[in-house]
Amino acid sequence: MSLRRFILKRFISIIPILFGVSVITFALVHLTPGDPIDQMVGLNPDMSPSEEAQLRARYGLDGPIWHQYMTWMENVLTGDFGEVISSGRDVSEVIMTRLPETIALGLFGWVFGLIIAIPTGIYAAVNKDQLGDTVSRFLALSGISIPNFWLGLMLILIGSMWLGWWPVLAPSRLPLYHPEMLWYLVLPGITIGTASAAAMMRVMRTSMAEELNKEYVTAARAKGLPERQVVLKHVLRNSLISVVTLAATLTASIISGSVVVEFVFNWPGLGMELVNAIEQREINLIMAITLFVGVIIIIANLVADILYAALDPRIRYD
Amino acid sequence: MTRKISAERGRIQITGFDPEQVEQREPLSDWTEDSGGETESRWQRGWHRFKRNRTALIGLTVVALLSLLAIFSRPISVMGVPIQPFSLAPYDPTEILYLQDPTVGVYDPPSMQNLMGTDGSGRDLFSRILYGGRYSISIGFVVVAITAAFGTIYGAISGYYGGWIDEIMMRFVDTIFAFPFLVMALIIVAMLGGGYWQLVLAFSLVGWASYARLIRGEVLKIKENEYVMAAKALGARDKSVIFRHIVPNAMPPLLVVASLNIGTVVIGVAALGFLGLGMPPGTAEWGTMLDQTRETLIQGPDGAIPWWATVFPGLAIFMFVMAMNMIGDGINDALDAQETGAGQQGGGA
Amino acid sequence: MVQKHNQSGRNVNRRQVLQGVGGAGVIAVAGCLGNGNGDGDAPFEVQLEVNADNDDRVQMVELIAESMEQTGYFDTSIETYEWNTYVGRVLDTEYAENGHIAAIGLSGTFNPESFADALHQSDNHGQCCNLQGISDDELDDLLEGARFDMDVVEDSELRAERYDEIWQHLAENRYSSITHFDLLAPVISADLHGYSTYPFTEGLFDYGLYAPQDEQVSWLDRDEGSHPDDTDLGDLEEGGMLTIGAGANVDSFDVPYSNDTTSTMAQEFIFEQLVTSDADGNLYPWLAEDYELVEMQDIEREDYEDYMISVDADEDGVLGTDEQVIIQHPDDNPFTDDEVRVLTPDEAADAVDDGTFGMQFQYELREGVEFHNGEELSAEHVVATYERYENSDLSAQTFDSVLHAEEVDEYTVNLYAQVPDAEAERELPGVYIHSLEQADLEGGDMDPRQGNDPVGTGPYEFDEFVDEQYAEYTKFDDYWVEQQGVDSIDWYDGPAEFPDGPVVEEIEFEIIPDDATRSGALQNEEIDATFGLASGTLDEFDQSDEFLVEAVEAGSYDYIQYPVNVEPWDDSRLREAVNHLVPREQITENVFNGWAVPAWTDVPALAEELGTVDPDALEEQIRPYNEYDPERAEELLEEVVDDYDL
Repeated sequence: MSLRRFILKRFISIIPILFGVSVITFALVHLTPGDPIDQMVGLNPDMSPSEEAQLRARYGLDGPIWHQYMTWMENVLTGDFGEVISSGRDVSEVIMTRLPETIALGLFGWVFGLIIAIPTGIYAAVNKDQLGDTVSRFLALSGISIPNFWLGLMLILIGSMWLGWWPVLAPSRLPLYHPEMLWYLVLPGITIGTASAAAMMRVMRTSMAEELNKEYVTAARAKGLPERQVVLKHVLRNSLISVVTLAATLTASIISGSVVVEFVFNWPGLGMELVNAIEQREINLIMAITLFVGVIIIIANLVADILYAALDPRIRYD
Repeated sequence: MTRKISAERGRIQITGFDPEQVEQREPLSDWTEDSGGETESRWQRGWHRFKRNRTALIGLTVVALLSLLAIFSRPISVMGVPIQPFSLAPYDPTEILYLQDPTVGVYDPPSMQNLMGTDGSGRDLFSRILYGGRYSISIGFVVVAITAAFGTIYGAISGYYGGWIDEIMMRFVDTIFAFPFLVMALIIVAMLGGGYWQLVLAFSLVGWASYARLIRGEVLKIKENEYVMAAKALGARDKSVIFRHIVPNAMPPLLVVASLNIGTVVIGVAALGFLGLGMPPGTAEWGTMLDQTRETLIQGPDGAIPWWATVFPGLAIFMFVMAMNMIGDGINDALDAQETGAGQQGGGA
Repeated sequence: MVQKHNQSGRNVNRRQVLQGVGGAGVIAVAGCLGNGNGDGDAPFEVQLEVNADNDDRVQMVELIAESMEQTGYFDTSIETYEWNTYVGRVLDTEYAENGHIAAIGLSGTFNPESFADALHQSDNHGQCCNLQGISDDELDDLLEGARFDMDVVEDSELRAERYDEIWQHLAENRYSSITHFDLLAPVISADLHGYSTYPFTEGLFDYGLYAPQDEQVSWLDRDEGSHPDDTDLGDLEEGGMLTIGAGANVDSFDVPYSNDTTSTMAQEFIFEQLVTSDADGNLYPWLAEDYELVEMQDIEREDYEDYMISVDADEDGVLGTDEQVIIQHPDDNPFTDDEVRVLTPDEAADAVDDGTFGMQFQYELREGVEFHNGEELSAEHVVATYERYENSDLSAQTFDSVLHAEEVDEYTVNLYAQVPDAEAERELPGVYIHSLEQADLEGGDMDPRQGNDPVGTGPYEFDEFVDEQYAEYTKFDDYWVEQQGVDSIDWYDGPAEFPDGPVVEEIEFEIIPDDATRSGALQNEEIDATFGLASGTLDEFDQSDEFLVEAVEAGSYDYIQYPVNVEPWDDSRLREAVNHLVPREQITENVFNGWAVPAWTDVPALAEELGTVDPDALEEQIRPYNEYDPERAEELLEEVVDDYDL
């Protein structure tokens, strides 16, 4: 099978998954008792059943559940995610204003992860079982074991209170694109990137060590090529494949992380919005964000698969 | 021998690797020789290797210590009959000390009387941290037991029967993988309400898929094996083939993933507690204890942060998860689990 | 929406706000677990409920539960709910049958009734905030007699005596335990000089900036080395921009179609009322130059029977009329009757024409008062404003006392009360006067988000609003006090150098929901003033030279209410016992770090003037009932246990 056909096939295979994601998202918020209208009625005992019915119709909460699902999907497919019930704002508008904040944070964390992971991984693999390797492996193990919200709290304690380098929270009026924001991204960015850095470092080290044991490396060394050239020219390229693939799939963990990390740093991104939406039972918002995240992860995994297939010549596509 | 360590510990989850690709990239190695013989010896060999792994033993000690401290922190009685009379914790974890003793305040720093200080409600932090293990650790083990059992059955059925059953069952697993597990657990707990069993349910609902995928991969490899073929030819029933011949052989990678997953679940429970979901406020659960402390980080001018309230509960979570991951790595090395594929595709919750 | 159903207990601004979300709005949804030490053999098992988003209140409930547990008589569990869910839950009439103890907060007023009526009056069951279906005829009569009675209208001493009876009655029956009264403690930077605190959140800055009734004015002085403690009126500086940090979005600028504190605060820079109030609750004519009570008659609501029309009522109690129902016949029940007799604005006018009304007040409007759009205030504006309040979000609390507004001539308005009412002087004129240009806007449309910038007579003009971010105001050049001079106000007798209107040129109203962020913004000098900061940090601000914390005892309070209709809570000894287990001292000291006042009686300083003959004597008399006394509690509990054979 050609690479092109492989990609096409993978594309088709995500359709049922997308469908499943939408069903699960919808079911999660609809199969539990109590919806926003119940709450509105609770707050306003004067409301008559007819008013209640009107409200339900307005928010598409009337009719049998499968019908509600169809209506919702119809709207979603035309890009209409409904409105935020309490404020009347457009859900897609809310997502669009929050998204850049999360992307900036995630990107910072991701880049931070790569910058830390690749050199450390190489260093550890080359100096396998020596002190440097042991220390970096221990750090990597710590990195994946540390709860990110606690890491965030600790960084605030250290960075803001003891060192005094950062204000605890970024200034509220500074726009995201302001260059100064880079400085304020440091603590939340490190928090969100640490786990990814540790995971990537471990993979980097392992695949690098594996490559280093391969015959062609021994052959290259035997030819008398300098070690540095062997590592950087031959080994690195092959080892990077798994790291790059992993980096793409780490999207899910970065998104999971953003929920908690944004909460710790009061960062006004999608994760924070999701927490607020859950607090206020804003079902349209919850569903939209969940669906959105699901789609991003599916795409990221797709990219990872394709990258892997494209980069590794040994892969057969079927 | 190359030592391959799972890329997935703690909260990190990796999804989307198609097991077939991994298998093809990684031609089957010498596992048939190992597992073709007596499985018993493999376990024994594993245990010997594990015992020699100092890191893993440290992990095991820490986990055992934290668990014992949790169990013996306060007496346990069932239906009024005391079955565990010891009480290592100096105070009841929910007791508000200043009610009886006005000299105790809120956020008192560590002292001889309160080893780790007091929290924002004037409760003894040391007692709460000892007791708190009961929630986190037990939820971790319970969830992993449930998810591993369900995932094993699901994956075994899917892999054994193959065809369209496999196709449908695996597409469903893919769908579960499309949600970040914390986000999904968050929504489920928000919808169900907090509480111990609600947390167990939420993390079980999102956690079984990785086991299903893993076991299915194992089953696919094993089922073409001679002895399985032989068993089938001899007329053994499907159920007995799956559970007597196939599943035991898939155990090592499962054990690795499970040991790592306990850490993932513990962090997840703590994260929900930290977000104010999970256990009711005031519960001595490690994450819930951290929830209150977020606001203490912002003090007024020249205010002093009660760092102990933030540092100690987090440290407890960190130590436990780290120890669990050390054990996981140890098992991984000891059982050669990576050679059966767990190294690449397990993990995640 | 909640306060819409509150028939009483309003503050000056006609806002009754359930004190809900306290802080950073930390999420939590229903959760349940025993207290950890519940061994299941205590005689009483009870669940305490509280909204999760108010950390302090949750902590307080934990403390009460722990105090109950320590007696060994109680097995407690605590359940928390997200705020909206919680309000819906406790305001449901069926809640009273659950047998749970509910904790909630309420905002009281200068009117002492607001510390008794909303909680206990039987009509308020299912409304705000008689959560447990308390129905005590004797108490209902006492409450009625302390307000809607010709004698008490004329004799405030008699009124105070009647309230003293109410406090005694409540202490003996203990349907609810008020735990503490809040201190309102805005934190301001030392750049803001002359500031003092009004006891209600919504008036904090509008009052702080300019209130001649208390000779109150504040100004900005950003010079290093000048501290508010060292300056006085002589050092006053004009101009500057004051930045205020608020904890919630401005839901709407449309006065009758919004009811949250932040919206009111944002509106009060723009809008004014016929009268104004000082920090002690005394009233002063404001947009009205003068007013008087013309006539009072002994009228009851039944007496409007002849004017009433019949309207249909469906099985859900919904009335078949689009008109504002001003009075519904007390004998009719819309849930059980097919038809209900009601008085709508047209019939109210007829009744007034025939001389049927409870009270008549006449207001002489100030001449030459200009709106931001150039209109001049006249009687027509006042009448149109009352019309716009009809069927609005504030209609219930407006038309529980207002019968009719009538234009006499260009500058004279009559306001009529339905029945003799000791609070009428404060309640009747409590609307924010609209411009004619906006008096016909659809409900909710007087809002920049709907394309209409709010227009009023107030000292500041609306400039700009960015949803969920900020609102900006500039001083109104033609503000009437400035035009006419403060000396033209005949009750004003303050110093001559007191300015004619506020001196701060611009106001920036920043919306920063997170408490901690606001605290940080204040310390980073991004904002000059804020409120609602965590009580744990107030001491530090107070001790700092760069900030001032101006605390006053406010009208808002927390209470827990017992399920009086569920055995064994119908036994007053049990309630009394739990009340003795409420550690009021520790609540204020440890939960609120001293920034609250223990509720030794049910009436706070704010309402003492009207609510008791002698505050000291009242405290002496009531306090023993409310002391933390586990021994006494255990005696009472033992009695109850014996009687019920538990």
